[in-house]
Amino acid sequence: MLIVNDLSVFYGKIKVVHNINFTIEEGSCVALLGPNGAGKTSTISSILGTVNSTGTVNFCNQDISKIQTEDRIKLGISIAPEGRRVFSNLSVFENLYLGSAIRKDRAIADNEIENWFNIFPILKERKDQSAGTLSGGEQQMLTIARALMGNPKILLLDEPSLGLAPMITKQVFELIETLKTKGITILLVEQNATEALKLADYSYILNSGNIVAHGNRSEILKKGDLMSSLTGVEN
Amino acid sequence: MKPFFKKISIPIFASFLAFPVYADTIKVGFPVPLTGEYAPYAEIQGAKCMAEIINNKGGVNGKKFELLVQDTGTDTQTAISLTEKFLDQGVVAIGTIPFSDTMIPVAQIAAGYGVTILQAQSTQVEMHTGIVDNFISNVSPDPFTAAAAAEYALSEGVKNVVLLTSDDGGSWSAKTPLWFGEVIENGGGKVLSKMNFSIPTSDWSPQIAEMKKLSSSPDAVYISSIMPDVGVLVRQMKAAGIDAWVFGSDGLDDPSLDSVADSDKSILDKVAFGTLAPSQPGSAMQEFQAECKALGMPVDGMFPALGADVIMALAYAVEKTGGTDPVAIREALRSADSIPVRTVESVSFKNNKSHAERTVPVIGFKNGVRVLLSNAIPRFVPNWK
Amino acid sequence: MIDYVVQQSLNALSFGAEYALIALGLAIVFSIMGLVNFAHGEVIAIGGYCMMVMAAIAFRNPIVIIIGAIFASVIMAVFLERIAFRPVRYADATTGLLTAFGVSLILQNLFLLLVSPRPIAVTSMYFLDWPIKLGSIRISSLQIFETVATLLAILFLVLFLKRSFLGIAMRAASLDFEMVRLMGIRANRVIATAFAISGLLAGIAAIFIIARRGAVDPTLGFNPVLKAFVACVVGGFGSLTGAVLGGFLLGALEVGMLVILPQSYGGMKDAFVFAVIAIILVWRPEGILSPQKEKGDKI
Repeated sequence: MLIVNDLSVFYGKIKVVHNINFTIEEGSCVALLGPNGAGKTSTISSILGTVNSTGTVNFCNQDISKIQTEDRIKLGISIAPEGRRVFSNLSVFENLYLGSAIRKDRAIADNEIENWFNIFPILKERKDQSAGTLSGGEQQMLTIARALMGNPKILLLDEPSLGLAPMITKQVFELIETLKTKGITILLVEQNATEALKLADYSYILNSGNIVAHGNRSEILKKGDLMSSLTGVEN
Repeated sequence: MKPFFKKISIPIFASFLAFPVYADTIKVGFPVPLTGEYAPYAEIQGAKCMAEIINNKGGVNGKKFELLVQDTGTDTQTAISLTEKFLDQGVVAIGTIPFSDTMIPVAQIAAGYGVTILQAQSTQVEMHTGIVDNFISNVSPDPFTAAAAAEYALSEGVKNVVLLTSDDGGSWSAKTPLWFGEVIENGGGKVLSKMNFSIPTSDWSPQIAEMKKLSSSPDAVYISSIMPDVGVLVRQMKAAGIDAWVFGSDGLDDPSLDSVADSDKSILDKVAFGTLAPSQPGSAMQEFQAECKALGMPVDGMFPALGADVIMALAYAVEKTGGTDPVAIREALRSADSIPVRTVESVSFKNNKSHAERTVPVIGFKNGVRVLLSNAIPRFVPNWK
Repeated sequence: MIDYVVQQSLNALSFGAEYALIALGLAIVFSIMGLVNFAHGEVIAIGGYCMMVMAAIAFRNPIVIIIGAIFASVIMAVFLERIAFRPVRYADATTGLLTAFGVSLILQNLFLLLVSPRPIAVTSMYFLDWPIKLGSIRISSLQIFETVATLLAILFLVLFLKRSFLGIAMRAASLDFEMVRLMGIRANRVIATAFAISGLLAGIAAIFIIARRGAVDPTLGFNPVLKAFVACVVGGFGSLTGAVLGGFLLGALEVGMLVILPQSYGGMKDAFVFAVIAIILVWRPEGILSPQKEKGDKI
């Protein structure tokens, strides 16, 4: 579904991602792991078209590397970004409403907002409250719900557990698990490699802008020392 | 041989460049505001047109006028730089931004060259305090327009007046009303009240409410401000039911005042202003504007038209002295009993040296059309120096 | 005496309505882009010049002229966004401010060179202005129209920003522009809408200004925009209600000082007005209704 080919990302003249390749099959959950500064978010940004990059990104048999960010979203790529970035000055409902911006079927979208409220009763309770007043965990839930409102073909999750208490982190990963069982294609970027590896069907390990390893959970775990130094996963 | 030729040919070329073909023209420098805040007061259109008219007749003593015009953007420093440039090119006179903070430094620089600042439309009293000697204004200062309007007001039986003053336009808007009041009081009238305003003002309702509060209603209001602000005042006073004259200065002399009468012909019946040159239909100025329009050089309004007088005065002086020495030209201007100009019959700088002695017209309206109410040198002018 | 006080209060209200209307136009753009659009004055002036042109080519129907003027202002605002402000959208605030000043200066001089440095009469809006007598109090119909229009404008804007999709997107964009794009919403459209609304407000302001002044000149809009800028600062820059509040406050201060100060202190009027404003800003450095610490909600 998503094929990234020979991708390099630049900030000015500095190259932060070096000619990487990876593939995400429809319905799968792929994790992009690695330490801080490895180039994970840069990779996500280049899929979205918000940074300068070379190489191609192929989505649903279409080269999207030259088209506008907004158009990529319309094709069915959705993002729950790092740091959550809820519109804190908007109400919970308005956040979800904007999430469904690309939907043509307004009535169905409104229905879905209701469904989300059933899954997250806390969001329903606070639907008219401004999103800035939610707790970190609630904001993360809202971010994911917002990203799903567009009915995406692929969901990009950037550090969903960052800065959350262990209890809340657990809830977030349970939610991702639920999404996975619903058949949503997911690209998960995480520093919490232990949890991510459990979830992902296939994983890529990034370091200093290069893919240093890839494989399923057991293959990754076999790499031993390298993995533990990069991702903190103990064998 | 070849290198020798090379050596000799360069100075020859250089000397050709130093004496361009225009060597025998009367050069006048105009570092003026073509853009910026004071652009409405540039005299260029009239000066250019008059120069064209004179040049078409063969010039003065065979010499043609050459106007050096460059925009200052209403910036004093630019005016100074351009003045230096024009002085180097040998101008006989200079006209610049008509406000003392530019005219004084420009005059000081020109003094070193013996060149005169000959200003078409400057009415500021600050220029006549002896601060510079090489300044001549083609018109009379503000106390004269105020006095002329007041004399006409008295002749119409005006007794009680309200003066609107503002510090925003310098002495022009702050003191001219007081001079008007002085002449009125000298003629037996009374100043009921003085009120403040800002430039620009587009809503006079607070001042009008104050006028309504006065114990006796005024016969006239005097203001020295700009258009379209005064037009708004006239309309709002009428709407508030205040039946008083509105007298003003040259600031009212703008075609947009006439348009106030578009929907109500009588609204300007009690509006009059002392100004710098007669501008009613049939006046010399309107004839001049028609002539210029026919030449394809339109002249919009009084301030640009006054440029014609400057060129005519210079033409007179060049003819008198037979040359273009700037000091001799200034002397010729100041010693003449009468110099023919275009917007009025003649001017004289003999008595006042730094400003013209000329008739001061008061313009009013009848059925929305300009009429000349009076045109004389005022008998009583307040002491202003 | 009581009549006099009521009369001057009504006058203050109408001064304030004009400032508030223009301040709203500045605030809506600032709240979304962080841009102080000093060229807003020239957007107003374009409305005025459009009326001049329409009068010259013998359009008599006032409704056509009003719609034409508003349309011209909207087009101008959107056009300026496209050619002048979009290229500096991601530059820092100073760049935007200087760009706006530059655009304003260029346009003023274009009006001056292409039309005239002098005021040109435009009397086609005089019909909006007639005296109304309420007992011993006289007001102008224009004062009522302008105050009502300002109140309607703020009401419309609040509803628009609260209820419409584009309005919500505009509020979101003021906080996190890129995130709005990541929702698949055309960011350019959101910003163009903000400018179009500011142009609409400028067009309405142009009609009232022309109805009162009866003439258009190159600085037609520049001077009122400076006042509106002060109104925005006092009210809290970026807050729409703050802009309106600041406008009415400034109107009240100006009329108040004009009435209270003795004539000999007349030249000090602005000094006194700004002294009061300075005191307000000491009390509330971000303006009276400053938005929350982040460039938060505009309403």
